[in-house]
Amino acid sequence: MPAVLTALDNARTAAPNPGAETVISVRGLTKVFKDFWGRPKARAVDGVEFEVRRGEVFGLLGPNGSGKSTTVKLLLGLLYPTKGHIEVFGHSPRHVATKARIGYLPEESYLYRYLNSRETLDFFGNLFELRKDQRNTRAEQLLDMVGLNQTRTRAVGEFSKGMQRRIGLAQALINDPDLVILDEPTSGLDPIGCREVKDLILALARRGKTVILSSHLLSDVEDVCDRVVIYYGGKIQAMGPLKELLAKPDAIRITTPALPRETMERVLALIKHDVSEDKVRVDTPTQNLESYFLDVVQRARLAAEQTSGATSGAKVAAYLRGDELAKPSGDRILERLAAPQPSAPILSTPTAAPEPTIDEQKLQSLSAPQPAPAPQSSTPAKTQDPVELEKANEKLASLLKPKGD
Amino acid sequence: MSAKLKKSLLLLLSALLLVGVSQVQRSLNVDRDKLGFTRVAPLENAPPVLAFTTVALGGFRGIISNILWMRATDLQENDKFFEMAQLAQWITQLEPHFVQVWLVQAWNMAYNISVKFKDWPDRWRWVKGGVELLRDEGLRYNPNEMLIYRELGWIFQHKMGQNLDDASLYYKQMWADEMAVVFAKKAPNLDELLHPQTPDQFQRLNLLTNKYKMDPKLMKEADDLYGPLEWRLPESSAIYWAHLGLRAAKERPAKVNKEDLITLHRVIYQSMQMSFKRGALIPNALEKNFDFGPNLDIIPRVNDAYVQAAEEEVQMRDNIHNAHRNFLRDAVYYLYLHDRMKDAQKWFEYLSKEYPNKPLVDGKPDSLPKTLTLDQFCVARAIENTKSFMGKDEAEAFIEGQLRTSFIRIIEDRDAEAKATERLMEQFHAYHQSQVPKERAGPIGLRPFKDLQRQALNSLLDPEKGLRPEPRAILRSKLGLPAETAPARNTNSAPQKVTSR
Amino acid sequence: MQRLLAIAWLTWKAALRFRLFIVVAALLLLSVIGLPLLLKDDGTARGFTQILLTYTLSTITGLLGLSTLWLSCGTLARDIEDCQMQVVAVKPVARWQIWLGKWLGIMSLNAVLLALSGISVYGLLLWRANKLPPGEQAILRNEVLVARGSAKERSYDKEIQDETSRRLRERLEKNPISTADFKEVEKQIREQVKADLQVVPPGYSRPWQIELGIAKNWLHARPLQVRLKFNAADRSTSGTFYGIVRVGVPQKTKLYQSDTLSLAPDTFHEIPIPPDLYDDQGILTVTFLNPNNTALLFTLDEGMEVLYPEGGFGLNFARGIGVIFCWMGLLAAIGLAAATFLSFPVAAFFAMGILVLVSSSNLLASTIEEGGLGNYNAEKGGHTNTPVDWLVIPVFKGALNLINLAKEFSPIDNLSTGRSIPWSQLGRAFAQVVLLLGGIFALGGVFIFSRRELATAQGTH
Repeated sequence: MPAVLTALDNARTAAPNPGAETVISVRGLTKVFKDFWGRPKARAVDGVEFEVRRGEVFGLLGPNGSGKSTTVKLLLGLLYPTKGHIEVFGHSPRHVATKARIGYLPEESYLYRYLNSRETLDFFGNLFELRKDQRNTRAEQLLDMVGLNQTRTRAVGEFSKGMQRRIGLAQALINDPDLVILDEPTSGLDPIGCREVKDLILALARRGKTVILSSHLLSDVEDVCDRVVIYYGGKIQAMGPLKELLAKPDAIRITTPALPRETMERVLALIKHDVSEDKVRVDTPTQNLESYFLDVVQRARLAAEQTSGATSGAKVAAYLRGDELAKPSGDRILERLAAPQPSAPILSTPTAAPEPTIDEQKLQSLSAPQPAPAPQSSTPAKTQDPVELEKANEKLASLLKPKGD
Repeated sequence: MSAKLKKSLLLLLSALLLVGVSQVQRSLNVDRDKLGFTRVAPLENAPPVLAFTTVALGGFRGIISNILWMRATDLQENDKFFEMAQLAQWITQLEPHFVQVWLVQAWNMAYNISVKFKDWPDRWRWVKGGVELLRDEGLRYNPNEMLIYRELGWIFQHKMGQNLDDASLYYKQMWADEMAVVFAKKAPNLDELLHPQTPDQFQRLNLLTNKYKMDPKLMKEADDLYGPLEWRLPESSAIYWAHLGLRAAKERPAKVNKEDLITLHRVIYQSMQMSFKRGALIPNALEKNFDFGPNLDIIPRVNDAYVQAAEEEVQMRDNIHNAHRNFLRDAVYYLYLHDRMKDAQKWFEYLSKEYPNKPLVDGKPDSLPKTLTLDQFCVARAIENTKSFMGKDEAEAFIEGQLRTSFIRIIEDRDAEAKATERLMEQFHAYHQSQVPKERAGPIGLRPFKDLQRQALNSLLDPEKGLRPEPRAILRSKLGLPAETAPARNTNSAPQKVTSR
Repeated sequence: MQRLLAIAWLTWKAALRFRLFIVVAALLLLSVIGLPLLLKDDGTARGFTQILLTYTLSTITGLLGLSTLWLSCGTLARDIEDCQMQVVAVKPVARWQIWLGKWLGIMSLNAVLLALSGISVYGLLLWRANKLPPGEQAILRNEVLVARGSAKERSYDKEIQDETSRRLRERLEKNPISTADFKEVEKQIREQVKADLQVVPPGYSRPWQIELGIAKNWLHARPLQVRLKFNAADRSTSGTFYGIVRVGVPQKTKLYQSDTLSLAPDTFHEIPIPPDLYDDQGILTVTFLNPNNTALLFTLDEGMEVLYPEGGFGLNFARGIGVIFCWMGLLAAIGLAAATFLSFPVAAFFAMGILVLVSSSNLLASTIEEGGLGNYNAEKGGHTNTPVDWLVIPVFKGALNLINLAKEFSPIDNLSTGRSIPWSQLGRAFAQVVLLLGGIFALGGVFIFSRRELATAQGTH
């Protein structure tokens, strides 16, 4: 049994209610692939257990062949478990009505090659029994969002890989799902597209949607996920809120604007009282490559350079943001005129690594002697076994190191 | 077993098999030739599409033709005939050199399918279909195949010529109509088609060669050998095709079966017999059509045919002799009936010479040739089908009936027959009188011959109960009688004499 | 419903994009136009029409059947193999809805193609018919381009049963028989009673009272046809027998007497009779006189019937097309069922195999008749038995019964002989072929499809 690393408040500003309902519950899940004669061939998933709550962004990590995609397919009812129990919104994965609340982006593009993008969205919209006007509006907005509104009449089979991912994403969202399952969403996308997807995920999470993300692009997972689960060999090796897993509890980092030299020295002197000098590091924080890249592109955009193929989306589709029918168009125009809008198409502000605001509580908990367990009902982290933590950290470190595996 | 050992063993095995096959190859080749499978050359005379398909389909032709044949059998069992013509064409075209296919399909159409229809025109259509299949298609691809000629001749002789089919008269009529066009509605004249002068003759020659596929030269040949033939009748065509069959057989004697050759000869013999019995078309001006009469000029040839057949078919010799004798008896009688007394006498003597010990009249074992004269024989023959001894009334009725026929023959311009019938009846009258005992001559003796003749004539000339006005007028003028007075229409005229019929 | 239509529309898109629709439509039109040029008829307009109807409708059925099988196997098997089905299956649409939606798509495609080709054939026929001389047109319109119903004598089952029982009783009184022989004896007696009804002895005549029923109301001044078939104990030299047909009752109706007809035995003959020969109750009396020296036998079900115009050719033709449409439904169900668990080429092969089996039902029938698989031994006059007969015969019988459920409707036959295909038959065809047989395949297919793990297919990119 893997260490039961429980959920903590994650670092996002709009913290979800930890007491939220369980969207997905997996217990003792095992999947054994059999060959033609019924003999077991491969044990893809072995004894997996986890829960996903509403409003979470849940990440499945692991190397190729570790069972991530198999778990996703089991959740969706595309495979049937050999042992174990899955509940999605309280029903079995094969229950048809709950699928109206689910959106799925598969890892390869499995769309109908002879339809064009509009027809694809229309078709899937029909499967959700959306009304015609709803279908049309949403399709327009989605195509806008993923930047495919210039290529309406081309058959999907002729799209490049990135374009196919985008249209795949669009069909996953057409029904405004409560649960979005994304399998390698950013594969094949350029950095701008990646950023947009990540923003979208965050926007969805802000609205209270649950997102399950399976990827082996670790930086993307790091940017958006609340909790992750790490697979290896079909078993869960590590699970828990990202912050906690990654946290190095025995060190803290303080970021300040550029300080004058003497202030710096005073601070260092202060620190040296408790900590030996060789354990202290001072450097200038670097900008994230992604944000630098996006800066450059934005500047180039302003200089009106042309690109072909997918344009980056204008903004996240209105209905996904939650104000689809909330305001009449007139008001929206007003809003647009009144509120400060970035004129550049790139809306999402390039965020660096999430700026750690001063979390008073955290500060207290770290610096002060151990107080009583936190008033939150979520299970306290203090009851963690430091040895377990050590092991977890080691495992993580070993995973992250390139291995000849 | 190691792979290498396996390989070498297999090689050895294949070598052995090849050697074995090469031994069988020679006999295979002989068989193939005999059965006619070695046609590698594309179909001559075929339309390009057909030639292409027969080559392209290759060995599948047999399978496809089998499937089609099964379908044809199926359909026939369910009485669905409208596809048969099409299927017959396809089946034969897939295997054009397989003779049996042609024979069976044509026979099927002419015999089996035709009889399933109740209307004569429908039946004729299918008989003609069978003929056309063989004549236009079968012979085109197999011009030297004796069996096709035989089958063709057989359809003409047996189906159209004989009277087994209720519609046979219709067939003869239709065929005669078609031939009438070729021969310009008169008695067939082969010479003018052999050496055509006028455009009309050229046209008719074209019609004969292109539509009916008959060559006037060969027709003349057949005529000389077996004729003279009435070319408007089916048995003449039967003889023509059989004659061609014999020629084809002579060219390839190795391929010909002795049995088939005999049946070919039979077609000719039986057709000649038919031609003899009723192979003359006699125009009937009254009815505006034709009557059938015996073809007397063919008698010598028919006789020769019988003699030859008796030599050829040893097992059937007795039957053939029987048939020969019957033929001779018929020949004598018909010649007599047509007033060809010299010929009749000649053949009567021949008959007596050939079969001195066989009775001439059926049912009378003591009627040997040397005991009867020609006249007696013919009289006996005339009353062969009636009772052995007729009473007075019956005999008078018989004579009168025959005399009426003789007068009608006069109207039809068949004077010879009229005269012969009259003579025959005179003979019969005399014979009958001779049989009556003298003391009973009054009650049961016959009235004088002339009286009976006059009575017959009057019954025909009777305006109310006799012939129609036009034939009556013809008869009067032929006999040199005065024309009729205009008949009185009112009922005051004297009651007519009731004639006995 | 919206979902079903969406999936049906998807099937259309697939067919159109892959040019299947265009190709099949082109082939259909080509056959409708080209066949009349290629076919050789038997020389009559009527025969030509019949052969034209038979071949064009058979071609249409064959072409559409093959393309239906191809499309139905392909649309489902390919979707599963290429994993597009995974994206569809995670939407709120049940597996049976997917299956049914595809079936509806294929059937709507078939409907359009059938309608197109049906209209072309119909138009072609009428156009050719109008170019004929009026005499032949009349025959055509009376006997081929028409929907004729059949009226027969009423059933004599009760009388036969009563008479059989009576004779059986008499027989039993004379000498009792064991129960084992009872059935045999009863059967023989029944055959005897039937024979008495069926035989027309030489020199005798037999009247048939044919009830036209309500049809008499619209048959005024319409010529009818008498259709008869007889068997003869002996063969005749000419291959035919004579017969005279007399219709009507003296002093009650007009009379008609045919000439002496020359009729072949064991064949159906249709004899046209003048109109208005039935009496007020709509009863037509047909008498057959047998002037031959042999007795002739007219079976109770096929011996004598009267054909009367029941409806127009156009509507009848449409109903015939409807039966063909039902067959297509069954084929689509078979193809889709095969595709739920087989890959595309194997599914297509499997479905073709079923087709071949169905078309060789004649072979099955004759094997059952002969009682075994062995060859016919002419010397012994029977069939040699093979050891597998005890298994093969019941299996063949079962298979034949199943096949006959679909094959007993023969619209092409009926249309080419001018027989009516009543609405009831069309309804029965729909129920048996589509609902029953198609339903069986549908249930099987949906069941397998629901159980199937769609994600085990590997994408073929």
